[in-house]
Amino acid sequence: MKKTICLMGFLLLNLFLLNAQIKISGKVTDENKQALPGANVYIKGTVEGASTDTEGFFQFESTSNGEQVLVVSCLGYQTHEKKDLITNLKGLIIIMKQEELGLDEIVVTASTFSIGRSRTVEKMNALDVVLTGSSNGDIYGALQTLPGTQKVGEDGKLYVRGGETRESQTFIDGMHVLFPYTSTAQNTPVRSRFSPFLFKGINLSLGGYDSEYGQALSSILPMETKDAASSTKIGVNASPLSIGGGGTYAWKKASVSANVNYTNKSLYSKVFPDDYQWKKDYRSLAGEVQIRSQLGRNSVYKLYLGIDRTAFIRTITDDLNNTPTRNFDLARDNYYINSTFATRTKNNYHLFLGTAYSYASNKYKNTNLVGDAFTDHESELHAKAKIEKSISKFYKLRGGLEAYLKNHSQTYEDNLSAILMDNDLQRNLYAGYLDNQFKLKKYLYANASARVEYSELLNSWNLAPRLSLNYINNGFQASAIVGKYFQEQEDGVLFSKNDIGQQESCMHYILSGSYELNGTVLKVELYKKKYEGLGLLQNNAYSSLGYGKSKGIDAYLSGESSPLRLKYTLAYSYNDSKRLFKDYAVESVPLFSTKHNASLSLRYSIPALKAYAGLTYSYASGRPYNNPNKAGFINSKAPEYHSLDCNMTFLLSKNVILYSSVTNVLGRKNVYGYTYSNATNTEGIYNRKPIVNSRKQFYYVGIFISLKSDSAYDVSSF
Amino acid sequence: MKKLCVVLVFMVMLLNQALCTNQIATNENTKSEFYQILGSSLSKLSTAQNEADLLSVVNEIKRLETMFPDEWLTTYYIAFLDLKASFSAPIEKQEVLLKEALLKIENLKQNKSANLSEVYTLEGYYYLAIIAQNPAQNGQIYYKEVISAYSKAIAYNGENPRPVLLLTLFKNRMAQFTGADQSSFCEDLKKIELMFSTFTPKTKLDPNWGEQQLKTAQQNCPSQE
Repeated sequence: MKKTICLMGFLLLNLFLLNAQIKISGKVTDENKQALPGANVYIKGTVEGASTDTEGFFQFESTSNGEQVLVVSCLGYQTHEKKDLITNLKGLIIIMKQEELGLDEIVVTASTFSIGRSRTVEKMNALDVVLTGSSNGDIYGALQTLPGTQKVGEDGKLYVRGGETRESQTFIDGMHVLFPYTSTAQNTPVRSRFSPFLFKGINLSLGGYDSEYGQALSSILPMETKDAASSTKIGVNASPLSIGGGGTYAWKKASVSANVNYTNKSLYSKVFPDDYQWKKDYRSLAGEVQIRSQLGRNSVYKLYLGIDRTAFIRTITDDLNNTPTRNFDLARDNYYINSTFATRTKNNYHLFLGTAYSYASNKYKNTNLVGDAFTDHESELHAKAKIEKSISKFYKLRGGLEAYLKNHSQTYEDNLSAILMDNDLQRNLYAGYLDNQFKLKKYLYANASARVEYSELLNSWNLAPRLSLNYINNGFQASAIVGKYFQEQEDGVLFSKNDIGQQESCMHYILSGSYELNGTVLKVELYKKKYEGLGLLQNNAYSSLGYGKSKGIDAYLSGESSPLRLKYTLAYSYNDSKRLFKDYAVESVPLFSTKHNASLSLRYSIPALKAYAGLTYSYASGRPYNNPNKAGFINSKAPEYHSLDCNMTFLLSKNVILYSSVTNVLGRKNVYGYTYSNATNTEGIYNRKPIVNSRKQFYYVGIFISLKSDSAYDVSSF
Repeated sequence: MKKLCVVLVFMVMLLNQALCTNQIATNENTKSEFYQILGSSLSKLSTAQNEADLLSVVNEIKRLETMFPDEWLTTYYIAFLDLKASFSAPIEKQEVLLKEALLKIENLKQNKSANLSEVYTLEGYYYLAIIAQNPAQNGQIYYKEVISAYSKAIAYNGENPRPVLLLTLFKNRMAQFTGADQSSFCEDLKKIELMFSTFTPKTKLDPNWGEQQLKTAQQNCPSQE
């Protein structure tokens, strides 16, 4: 009997032991020994687990046995695993390490400005462009309130860090835009061909940019269009200068958007005349269509088509050189097609394929003499393929191939129909790049990449390496970048068919530091650029013996003062440049470069009036120019540039927005330089005329009406 | 007697083995097991007293998610509860909660079995949470994303009352700034009340929330019979 009881007891004990619950317990803390409540602790492969209490303690029972893996995870910390016999998993002390940003999450901001975006605000607000005092709703106008850009007021194009405008190239969705600016009359600033409302991201890179891009000695402006729209809308807009309308039709997974705009300055010129005489005032008709579609869960296809025609006839009286009055006639057609496909495979490879085609045809009459004619046709086909993969938490590889096929032909017939110029240029350029991004250790990232290019016209290969080291810790970033960039000489030089031999190149050295705290950003950058191979005209022939250098400092401060509802941006640039290129006689400061550039932008919201006010004050030191009455070359400096611009936007109702702006409120006559007569006068002096804007001040008022929309204040057609 | 004992011992051993394998069998993936565990976790939500209790439920669902990675409901509820928590969480916690919620929503879009109407409703709710972080600054940047996400959710399933309710409530809040006509607000809420009553979720655990928010919004409406 005793034996049976013992046996029964032993068997029961056996049962209990085998079905026994094992207690798992411990405490979870961070690296500073502070308790971590709410951490998730569990046995891998089961639902057995618990959350830590306010003291960081956890306790639960498990029916597993043998060797198990205990997983501890907590939001904001790296997941911790501990492999051991389940009987040893008691009284544990687990220290959790803070989560570090992965390669996909860090954004290096050295020499880059993303409009309206910041570390905390991921999305660009197109209104940031429109509400910048001096912009007039133009992307390039808004970019000029950023440091590193130099004011060339009569032109309005982008000039970056002592570089010519052609050294800055624009890209949309990774594809090149050959003609990003509208055509205008002389001394009338250009605008971007594209409305800021097309884009979800505008990121200006002032130098040291990614190896993905090339053929831009100074800077690149990559812009990303928005994703497929999800609601249908229609809107119209009108101003004394223009009338337009457009809209989007949206399906579940795709959308089609279109926009048409007609601009005619004749009505406006009657009220606010400019310095010119017009036979046929400036007019342009522009239309664009964009299809954006989501193919499957991981692919996006976009197709953009833009067409515009610009025409005007301006009566030119050249009293400097006493040439007969002529009616300068311009007619320009411009086409741009951009098609991109992006997808992500199951193995997380990002693939991209894109093509873009730019075409412009210009027909000018009476350009220098009455009865002459100048025609210019230029086109470019750009094809690009990219692949990207995060290999591990510490390494990301990107690579791609691209081809640029360009054609440019010009003819000039004088008033006797003699063909004085017949240029034809075909140039094909092929490139490939490889980009390696590394995470070296906590907060330290590095990038080593290279780009290889082959220029068919110059029959030259080049290798463009780029290295960067970045320290990123929350709001603080410090970077050092070294890179070499190439660009073929401009067409004017290549038309000569002289033996050029090599592309132009520029070495960038950049040191950058930035700090962001609670929405306030402070950024300071030092840079040095060394140019080589620039097109130089000597003894009536072009060579690549030109050179130059540019160095300077860019500083930027932006923030918001909440009680005052005031947003401010302060930018200052110092640039010291010298070049020997083009038709320069000696090494000089280039005509487009100014030593000091500064701008202060304020944006104030007035909820009571449902209005926004934008004010920008811009300053630039005097532009260099060449005075033939004095000895030397580029020997003089024009007066300083000052301009106070402002705009006001009124949200009249859910569907109507009124926008108004005035440039140069103080009415200063800004002089950008002087043009001199070709011959001396009777006293042996060259006469001159100042280069000024055709309009001293520009007044604008426009009304934007949304006829159908799901949301409010949605006046963009896209 | 000894033989009987030996046989008994063997049988008990075998029984133990069988019981052990039974234990292992309960760890095998079965759909009913999944619903049972998820159901028990979700039922704890109504009795949760504080943040810690809610967090404990989320952690339970996360453990279930690691065991059943192909199921969309676990991912959905983690994102939903993270977003709800972000509205009242301290600033430091908000960032990590929203980051995880966004990651879960991206995962849901990849999951073929997920109900896209509910996923896009959740995406709209995510942008609403972003706006709540700093309404003065974020409202004007993200309001279009909120409306766009809810509109997509309605396009995927016009009978889903949740996006319709959230969109109506959002437009009502916006109307305080835009001055849009809100005279039909109570009527719209009544229609949504009808939608909720006629809506049947695909499974017992599919998203079925929102009536509480509807009732709160209807408090200022005249009661109708």
